[in-house]
Amino acid sequence: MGTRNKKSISSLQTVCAILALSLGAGACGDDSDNKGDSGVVITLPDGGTHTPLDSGVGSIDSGPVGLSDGGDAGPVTSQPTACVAKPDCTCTPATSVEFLNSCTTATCYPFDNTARIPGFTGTLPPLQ
Amino acid sequence: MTSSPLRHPRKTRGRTLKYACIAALGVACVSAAASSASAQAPVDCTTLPNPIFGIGGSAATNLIGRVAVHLAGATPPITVVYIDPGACNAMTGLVPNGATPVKSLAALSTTYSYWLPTDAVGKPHQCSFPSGDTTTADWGAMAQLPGTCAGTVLPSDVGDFVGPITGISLFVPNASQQRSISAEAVYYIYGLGVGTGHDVAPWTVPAAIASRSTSSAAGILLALAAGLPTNRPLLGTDTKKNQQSIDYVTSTSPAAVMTPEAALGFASTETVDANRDKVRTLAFKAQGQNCAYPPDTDLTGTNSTDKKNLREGRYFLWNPHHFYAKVDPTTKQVVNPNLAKFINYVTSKEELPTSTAADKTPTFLDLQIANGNIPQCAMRVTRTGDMGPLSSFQPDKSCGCYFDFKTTGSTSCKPCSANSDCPASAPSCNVGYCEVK
Repeated sequence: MGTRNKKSISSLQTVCAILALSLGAGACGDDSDNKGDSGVVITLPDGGTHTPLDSGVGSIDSGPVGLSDGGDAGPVTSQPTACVAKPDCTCTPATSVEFLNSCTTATCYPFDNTARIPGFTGTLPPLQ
Repeated sequence: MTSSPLRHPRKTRGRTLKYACIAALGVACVSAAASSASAQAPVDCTTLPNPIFGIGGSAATNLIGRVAVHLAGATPPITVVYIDPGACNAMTGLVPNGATPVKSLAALSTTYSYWLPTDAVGKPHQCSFPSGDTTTADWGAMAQLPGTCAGTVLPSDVGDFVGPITGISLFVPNASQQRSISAEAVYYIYGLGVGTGHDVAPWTVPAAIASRSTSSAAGILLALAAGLPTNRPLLGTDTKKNQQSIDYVTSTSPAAVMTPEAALGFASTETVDANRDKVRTLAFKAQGQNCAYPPDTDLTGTNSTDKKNLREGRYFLWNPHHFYAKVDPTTKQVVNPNLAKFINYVTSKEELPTSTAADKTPTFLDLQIANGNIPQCAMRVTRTGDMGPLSSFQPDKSCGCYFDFKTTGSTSCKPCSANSDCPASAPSCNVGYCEVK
């Protein structure tokens, strides 16, 4: 077999192989990381209901705990007891705001707008 | 000396191999072309058995698919055909725009999804409408009212049917340290924009912010919750669909992948829940709220799936799925009997049919819960309008205890077989547990 024929055959075989691979190629899967939650939990001393650290516009929270962003304190939870209404929450909500702030043993996570939003005064600025 | 007509044996073998390969290559090419042609030629949607054609948002797609496999395996079968280019397309597909009639489904999309009884969640088949086909939509799905779509008003021949509750979640990659966000922060990030001098740390990298247009339910509802106008695009990168927002902050955005602390997105809560191995819902502090709450009692652990805060009104970002269907203008009944059944199933008016579906979820109640939705019967609050004010809600037949059991594995409610098993304080035996009503 001549050299030129060997090269031609080899090229064709390569093309055939490439074509075969392209016809049989499948998708690869992907790996997903599963990163756990490493938040800090603070238990209140009074129990029964939570006492949010951020009580509204212009309030000051108790400072960052274990977070690198220098923003809000960690989550707040309480002991599971019967609901005890306090000024900052109600056990029998009737209005929309009361539902949002209803007493609960659920964990809440403070977000202080004044500390986190530069220049925040309580009024939303106009959109550009 | 003249050349002999006889060929050299080695040259002959070489040519034979050469021609054989060419022939094989040709056969392979022809086979590939034929295979490719058949793979590229989708089924004609109009030829499917008893089809009902829908269009709308992606938040409901998995829920629709779960119902669709049951209907495809029913006797007789009903084929649910659906495409999810965005919520307000439900209105585009159903409601004429002034004197302009609705567009045909062939004009609205090149391919549609449909499900067979053996299909897994999120793995539909594809069909299309022939060129020039004039079939229009029978129904639409979106998680908000028509007025949010350029002021659309429903005509008398389109009805609004309310389905399960869907949450909206702002989320971050699991590598992020962030746990909470406020409505005001959302206003700054998605309204004023990142990198414009109004940055809310750590979300300060514009290319790490996933967003959606305000023709999507998620975009519209978040805008309403943050005090942003719904006729103005939310800033950030529009990812087009719920799952693609997840993908954006975890893989497709180099900026988000490089700086997960700066990454932020939003999507339906059921989509975020299905991706808990990658992302985490942020607790949300609504306007007028003292503290930020996640949809569940906790972000992690046993009570991280109970949706208690959403059900009781402390998590603000939720709305019901709406299914819009062609109805008789006088009776307001769904005209298409197969569509009527579908609407009855997704609004819990009728139980799922007996089916050969591979998915053996026995009831629509279980199917909603499995999908990450909240059935109306598990809610303790309702609301007026999209992201509207909250008020107390007592379902006609509560299922909160059952919902707690299915999502957390336990409930404090008393098990029962009949009302006679229940105390006076919770006299109604619903789905195996004593409820107040």
